[in-house]
Amino acid sequence: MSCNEALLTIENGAVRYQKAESYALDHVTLTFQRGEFVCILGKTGAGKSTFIRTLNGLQALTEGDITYNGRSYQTLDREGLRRQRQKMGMIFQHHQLIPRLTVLQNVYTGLFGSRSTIRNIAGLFNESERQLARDVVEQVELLPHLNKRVDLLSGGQRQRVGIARALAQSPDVFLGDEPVASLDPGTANRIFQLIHRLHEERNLLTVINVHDVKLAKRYASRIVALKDGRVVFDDQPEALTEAIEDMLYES
Amino acid sequence: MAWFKWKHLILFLLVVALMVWSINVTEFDIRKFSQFNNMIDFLSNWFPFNTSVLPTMLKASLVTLGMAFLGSFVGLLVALPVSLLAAKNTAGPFYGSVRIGLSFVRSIPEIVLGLMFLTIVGPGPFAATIAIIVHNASVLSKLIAELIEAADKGPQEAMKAVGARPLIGALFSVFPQIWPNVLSHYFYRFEVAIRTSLMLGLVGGGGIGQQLFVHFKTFQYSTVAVDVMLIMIIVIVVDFLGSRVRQYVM
Repeated sequence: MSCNEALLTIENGAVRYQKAESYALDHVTLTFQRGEFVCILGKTGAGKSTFIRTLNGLQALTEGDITYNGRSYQTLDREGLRRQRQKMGMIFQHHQLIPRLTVLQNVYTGLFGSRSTIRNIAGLFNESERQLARDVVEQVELLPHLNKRVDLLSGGQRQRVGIARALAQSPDVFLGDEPVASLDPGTANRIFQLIHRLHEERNLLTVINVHDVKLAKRYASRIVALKDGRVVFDDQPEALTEAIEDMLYES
Repeated sequence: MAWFKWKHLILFLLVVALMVWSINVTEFDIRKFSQFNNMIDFLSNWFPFNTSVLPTMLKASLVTLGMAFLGSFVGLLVALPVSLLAAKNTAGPFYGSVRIGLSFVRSIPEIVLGLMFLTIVGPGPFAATIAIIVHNASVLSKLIAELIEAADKGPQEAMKAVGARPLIGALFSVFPQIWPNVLSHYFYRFEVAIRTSLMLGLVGGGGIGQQLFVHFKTFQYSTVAVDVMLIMIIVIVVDFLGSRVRQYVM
């Protein structure tokens, strides 16, 4: 179902943190289409996290530009950028859920971007929003824990809540910043499987940082590898040879 | 000398010198307790308790409780929004001026605030309550602002990522996290407000504090005994309730 039109483009994107001598992200140009499942590889400090965070504007580019759905981030003010983010669901390594709130309440926060401040504060959700929240909790198989506080869940279950929150945004894009790095291998695989299934069902663009090469090879339709902030590999998983892997992770 | 350095010895000597100086200026002298009999004489005047005043004093202690509750609770209501303007990560451009304003208000002793409001609205619990509100609003604003600054940044970033407006993001990512600590601070301030309202009673702020002061000055020690007992009961009850609520909220 993929169409050839670019959904998300980063052009000559560079990030240089204050007082840093080198670029964290060094003039990267990439084009992503709907339906692609992209895994970003690279060792710690290669710029993976910085890269993912630039895609939804959590991290501003110091040079270059990003275009999403035909709109350039350079032309957007803070409010415009906020609207762009509404359709980009993000999953974090440490899930970043709101403690002391329940599974359902956390999923509701995924709807915040598209609703009025008053309705958000009052916690007023209409029938279709309530249904949507239940549906996404069901899709991540947490319906039995719907009204349980998230701090009482296991690591894998919390990450599922994180995914459900992103799903509640009805996203076109899934962004993942090392979403399975803190999980055991079995749980990590199941979470990846879940993300991949949802990706297929909804025909999303998915861009995920991962440090487990095996997981990337199993699920990705395209692998991009970063080294010292630069793109050093961009191809199908089959093209990733052992020699390239060694080059990526050598110190 | 594995655990200590010469620097520590100097520090130790400094602390000893400070203690000697403080003993001097406070006329601190254990030998003065040789007249302990006076104390026993004094306390024996407290018995038997003058229970005939119990209904009136009970009423007065309820006034004190009301002052402390209203003073600290309205203080909390004011502090919740103000604290967002006093925390580095949510205040934006207001941070500096709000912080300076708060420390200015906090530096005014409650008794001075009480005396000020007494001259404006006349003696009685109303003036005392206003003084407690003003003081607690500034203290709680600062304490809550510090909780906001120390709150986990992760959920705040997540709220940004879902496209929530900054106010909503701050409210939802910060307050659920810090809520138990906010309540903990609040109950402590409630307890302190009871003591403050007693002090304000001395300058005409009403309640059991004023009664205590009057009874003391007129040597009605058996009534003083009733006042003190009631005060102790209030403090213990509020402390107990506070710890129960905190347990429930955790």
